[in-house]
Amino acid sequence: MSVKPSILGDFEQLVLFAALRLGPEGYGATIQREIDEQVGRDVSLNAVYTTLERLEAKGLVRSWIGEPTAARGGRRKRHYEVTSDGAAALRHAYRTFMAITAGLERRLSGR
Amino acid sequence: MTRVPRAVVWLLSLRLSPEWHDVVIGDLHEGLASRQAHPLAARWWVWSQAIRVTFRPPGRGRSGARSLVHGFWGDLTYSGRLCVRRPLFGVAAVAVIAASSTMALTAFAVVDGVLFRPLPYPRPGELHFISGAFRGLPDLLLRPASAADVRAWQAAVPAARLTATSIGGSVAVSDNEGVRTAEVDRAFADVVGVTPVAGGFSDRDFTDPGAIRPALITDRFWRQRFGGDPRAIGRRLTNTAGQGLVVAGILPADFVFPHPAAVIAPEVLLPLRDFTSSQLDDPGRRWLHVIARVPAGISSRQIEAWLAPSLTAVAARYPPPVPDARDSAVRRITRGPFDDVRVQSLDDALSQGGRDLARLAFATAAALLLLGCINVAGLSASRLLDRRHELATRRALGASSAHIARLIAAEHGLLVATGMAAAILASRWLLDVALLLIPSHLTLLKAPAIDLRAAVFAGAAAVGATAVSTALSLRRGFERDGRLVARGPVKLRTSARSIFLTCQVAGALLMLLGGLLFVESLRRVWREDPGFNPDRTARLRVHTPRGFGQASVAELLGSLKTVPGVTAIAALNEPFLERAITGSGFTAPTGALATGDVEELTVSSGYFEAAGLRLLEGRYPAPAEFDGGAAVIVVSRSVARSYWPRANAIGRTLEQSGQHYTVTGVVADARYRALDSQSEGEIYSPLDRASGVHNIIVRFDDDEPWRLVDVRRRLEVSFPSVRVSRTEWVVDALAESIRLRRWQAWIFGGASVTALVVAVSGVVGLVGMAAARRTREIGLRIALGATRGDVTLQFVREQASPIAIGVALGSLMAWAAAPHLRDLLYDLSPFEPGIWGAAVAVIALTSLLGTLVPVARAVRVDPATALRPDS
Repeated sequence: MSVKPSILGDFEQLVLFAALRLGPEGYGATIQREIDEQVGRDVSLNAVYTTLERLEAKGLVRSWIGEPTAARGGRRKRHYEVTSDGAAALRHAYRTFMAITAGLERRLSGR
Repeated sequence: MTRVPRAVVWLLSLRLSPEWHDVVIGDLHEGLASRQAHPLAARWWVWSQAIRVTFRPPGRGRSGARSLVHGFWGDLTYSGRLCVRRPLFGVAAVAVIAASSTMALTAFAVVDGVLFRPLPYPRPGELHFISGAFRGLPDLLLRPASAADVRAWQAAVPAARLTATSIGGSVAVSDNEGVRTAEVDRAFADVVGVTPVAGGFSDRDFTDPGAIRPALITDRFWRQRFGGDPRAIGRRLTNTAGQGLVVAGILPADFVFPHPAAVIAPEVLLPLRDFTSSQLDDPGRRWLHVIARVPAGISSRQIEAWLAPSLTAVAARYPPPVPDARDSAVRRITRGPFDDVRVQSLDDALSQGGRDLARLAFATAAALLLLGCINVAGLSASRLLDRRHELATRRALGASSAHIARLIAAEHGLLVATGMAAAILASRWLLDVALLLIPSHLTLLKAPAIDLRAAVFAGAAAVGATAVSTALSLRRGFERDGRLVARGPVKLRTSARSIFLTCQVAGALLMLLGGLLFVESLRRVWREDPGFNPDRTARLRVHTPRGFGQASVAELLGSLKTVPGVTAIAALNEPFLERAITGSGFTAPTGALATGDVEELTVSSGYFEAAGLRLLEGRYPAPAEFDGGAAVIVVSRSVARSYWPRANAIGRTLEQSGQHYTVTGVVADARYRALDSQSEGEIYSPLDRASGVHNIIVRFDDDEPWRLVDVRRRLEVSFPSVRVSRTEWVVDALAESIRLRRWQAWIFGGASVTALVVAVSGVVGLVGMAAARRTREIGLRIALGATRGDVTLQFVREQASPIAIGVALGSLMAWAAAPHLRDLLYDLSPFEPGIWGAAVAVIALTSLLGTLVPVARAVRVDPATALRPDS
């Protein structure tokens, strides 16, 4: 029996894609920076934390505490990694997006 | 700036767990490092991020507010389930809150318009009544003033603006109908601050009002007469003689005429003509009520001091008073000039009497609500002992004292809210009953209703009741040092239970005493002999057209006499049981003792029989004599004794307008003003000199309700020009005349019965829970040889002390409060020993009975069952 993938909100998709891109180097500060650089959206750290907590509660990401580093003033990181369920949810979101936008490329590109 | 500011580190340490604190500070550090090119922006960024994290810290699951709501909701649903599982407690608590809140809410709906609603005038604190006074008559308030007084007062206090009004008049609006009026001078609108919603008086209205008077009509009159038609201005209401009014304007819907006599509240305002020189030259003609707007900050005493010198100037214009031995003491003083002046705030004057009563009613209702809270707290405290294991488990799982308090508050909130909702529904019905009895003299600034204000009051009362009942029972939820009792059966602490019992008994005794005093006061009024026989007698309040002479009256009476069931009928040209004083036109004979206000009643010959008066001496005048123009009168016992103290009144004469009338009979004094208003003497003179009729008195051979309908129908069919405004049995009119006392008895009697029920149910609940908890002890005692009677006696002995202390405490409180009731009671001391004895006996007996009922049930337990380990 196949499990239905979770439906993701807009911001949840952004955070999950950023975490997917970063792989093991995904944590609060880098995810925030990735979203800013890739999408140009300045989001708060707190929004990222809250969303990651929610995604973790849904089983779409998992987290662990890393070692302290000098670049962080001797503070530790909380790393996040996309789980297989998270990847499935992203795939579902991506396919949905592609399906609904099929044939609209020209109109959406504005040409 | 490369490091996260210490203040941020400290701030976040308050809200974050150590693990998350490390993670967040590390991320902020990285963010700062990447923004080094713009230090100011970096500083702004780090603070903004830190503050957002502080508001919704990660690692806490739900946010604080949502968590609180979720937790409270969980507590509520848990409490609901608990109440359903063990309904006895829930039903008892809801019933107690509902009963006490219904009374409180109804009382609030009535007194809201007396106590809490601000006067509908701008800056009402600046408005004052000014009235002349007599040092010899300190109780006479709001005496009307003369035009000369008004002129002198205005000159004495230039800082104030005065307006003069005249009340109690009427203007014809048709041939057989007049409406109540008040005349107001040209300064009225400005001083009082009333602006008509449409139209208004012109300057000419105050100099030449004409036969058809310009009138500002009240909103109610406008809706009744003109159906709220905005084109009503300019419309005329007149009689066939061309007298009447023309609508000059419409007053606002919330307009209240600024005078305490609400029973004569005018329906229209007429312009008071500017003072004429003859009015100004006659300081003895007093008919004006004066209102002043005084700048804020000037006290009533200060104004009185400023006005005092003006009294001397006006007094100097009075002719020296001529001594007359026949004048009553009061009359001798009031014939002279004012020697004192009173300034009273409008707010106080309008609520005179009514506000004290309203305060008392509201305090009673609040006390009842408090009693209900104590009762619920007592029941709850007792039940929390049963739940000690559950609470201990919660503690063990990490629940703080705040969590336990929230749980208790949620349960109480649920019970109170349910009780209050039931009260809102029940109070609608109760208010309908209260409105039937509400005293007509109360100046209500809004119609009594269960409206938004009442709902807000109910909400506030619910919050207050929850807080009080929770606070009172919290102690039961905690152990001495904040830890919960967790082990073994705990005997109910007698101290806490005793305090609850004592408070309930004391409160119930206080309210029961109040209720009994008012009910006994009403009973004594009812026991009074009105001086006439009200049984099977009715009165018709009629309005006869102009020129309705005595021949027409005789024809009318003759026609009604033939209606089946009528045994006697008569006409009376004075008010009947309407709290009105009409006075007498007869001159007291030389040598008469001082009397009060003797009333003259002009009646037709059948009146003595129709009213059922008791003849004490002499005879009633024969019909031919009385209706035929003979100068004969009948006097009451008080008149006979005061006018001819050393002689028989029969055959004596009294003079009126030059004619001498011979006394043929003496009858008992009769209470025509109201049943609770003592008669000061009556003189019955023939109706033949008067024009028109005010009342028709009809005696029937039974009191079937259709008799009244028959008579009224005959009158309306046979005499269409005569308008009947009221038809009622005299017994009902007597009851109506003491409406205030009935209202008092109803409010306070009802409150006392509710208090008694609440208190007894509290005793039953508390003792019942204590007995249930001590089942094992009871079983053990019986197993060891104690009889059931012994165990019962022991329980009763345990309750006797708190009940006795409650009775003593309640008596003490009642002793302190009783003097305030003295003026409200009729012919009854607030310390009446019989009432006090009855109240104490009722409270003591019902409390003991409340103890016996649950104990008798508990001692029926089988010792073998009670002593089983799992029981």
